Amino acid sequence: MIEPEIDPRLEERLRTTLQAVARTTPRSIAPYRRAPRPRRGRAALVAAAVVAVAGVAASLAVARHRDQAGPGSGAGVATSPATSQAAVSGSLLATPLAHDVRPYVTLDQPGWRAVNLPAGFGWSGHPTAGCPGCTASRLVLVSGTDALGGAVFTAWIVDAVYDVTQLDTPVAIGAIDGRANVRAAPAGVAQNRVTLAWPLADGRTAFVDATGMPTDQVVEIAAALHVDEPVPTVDPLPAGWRSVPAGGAASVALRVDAFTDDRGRSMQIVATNQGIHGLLDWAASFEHLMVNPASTVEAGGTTVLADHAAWWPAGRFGAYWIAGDWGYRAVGAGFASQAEFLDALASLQLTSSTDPGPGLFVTPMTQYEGFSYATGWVAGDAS
Amino acid sequence: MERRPQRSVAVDDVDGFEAFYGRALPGALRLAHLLTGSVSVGQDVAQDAMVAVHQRWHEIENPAAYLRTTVVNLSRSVQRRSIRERMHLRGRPEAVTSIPEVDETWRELRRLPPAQRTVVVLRFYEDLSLAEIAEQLGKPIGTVKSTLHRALSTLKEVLP
Repeated sequence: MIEPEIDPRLEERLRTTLQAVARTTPRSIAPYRRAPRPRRGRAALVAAAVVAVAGVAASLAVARHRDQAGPGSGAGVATSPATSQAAVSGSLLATPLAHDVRPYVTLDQPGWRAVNLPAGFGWSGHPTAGCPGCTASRLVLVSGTDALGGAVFTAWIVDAVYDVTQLDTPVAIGAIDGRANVRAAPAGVAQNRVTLAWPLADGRTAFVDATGMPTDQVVEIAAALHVDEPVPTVDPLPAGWRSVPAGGAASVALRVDAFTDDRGRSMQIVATNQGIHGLLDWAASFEHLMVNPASTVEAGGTTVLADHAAWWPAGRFGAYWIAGDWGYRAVGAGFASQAEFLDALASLQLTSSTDPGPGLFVTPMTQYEGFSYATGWVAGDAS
Repeated sequence: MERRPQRSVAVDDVDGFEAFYGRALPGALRLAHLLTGSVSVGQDVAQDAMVAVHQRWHEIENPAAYLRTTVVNLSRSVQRRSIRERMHLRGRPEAVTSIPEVDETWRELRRLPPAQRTVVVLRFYEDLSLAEIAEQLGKPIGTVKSTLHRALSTLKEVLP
């Protein structure tokens, strides 16, 4: 095969460029580091004051799950997020834990085992700084009783100028010319996803990401946002909506390392004690929440936002859920169907005890930051 | 059953995989970065590719080749992903080096259609022949040739 004639100058330029850019690539995958939240301004404090009224997804989940924990969920299932004083165990999907209690995942299904993997190795990706929304502090409004069960509206501000014309459609955000990208759902508004971006006068850029809402409503709420402070606010709240405040506790992101079973199925879980805010942080880097086609399903007694990206290999499924102050992300591989994945997920238990009973596989969740190696250990026999 | 706490039993031959992981990850990250145009998306791709290698560790004869193929395939898949990523790719500061000509060339490379950029990267970074690229992508060699031709024509037009 004769190669096309290539201008040697252009070829040299391309080779030089590719080598030079390649040299800028980090040699490893950066661990998750979350930026500190900016100081809240007056308007944000007003939003924070609605905490008691609005409640968080955690408390709703607690109320909803209060009577749903079955006998198999273990002793000490909490009726409110368990604090550090109360050791609990129960379904990973439905046991609420307070932000200061670390969950340990336990498996009581035969054939599963923990897996040691090199640092940084995983299915869930690592959030990175640099994209519009990564590590941002954001306004989160939800319309459902469960934070992941209904429409979600998020807004945040990036202290940088972005070329908003990359979005497809011009749209007026109040008196400001912005742009919108709408990914309409094939069936109704449930999957409708709207992204807005508009420039602010001081060199910042405002972003909105919403799902499950008509586009007009997204624009209407966006136009009502107060954007003077680092975190947008809206006052009064739109009727039927509540604000989910960011947790005041120090942010903790944990991951449980891969575990696998004899059938080649595997799963990895990431947990954050910041509820939906933590999940949005996690997701903001590239994908997942509100980006992948997702649907809410009931699994293991809780509402799970289940997703599957078209580009994922066959057998991979993901899920988000919130229990107590914690938000979780699980990605499984090697599953025959989403139902099978969710069944496996529902079989997982958690405990806050470091001394679990016999016959359990326990994989202590490793703190993400500073994570160097999986430290799974076996508290029972696989066979 | 008596509880027997112990260190986790590693996956089979994890040492072999771990050594490969440490050795091959930087290259996978670089290739994925060039193919996707984004460091962070490239990291995702490289991780997924490593997962694929790990899952077939005992089946594949040439892990490095398998890894490269997987990086290329996954990079092609992710190039049609969300608007957030498109903004990520295009919204970040363009300068990645301190060399204006390199930055300018990189900007134009990123603007190429994914298929064209892939061929350019495989040809001039991975140094693959057209036949090897065709095999890598599973495409006829004529298609690869014309894709490369279109990419070079575009670049010649836009680059001073």
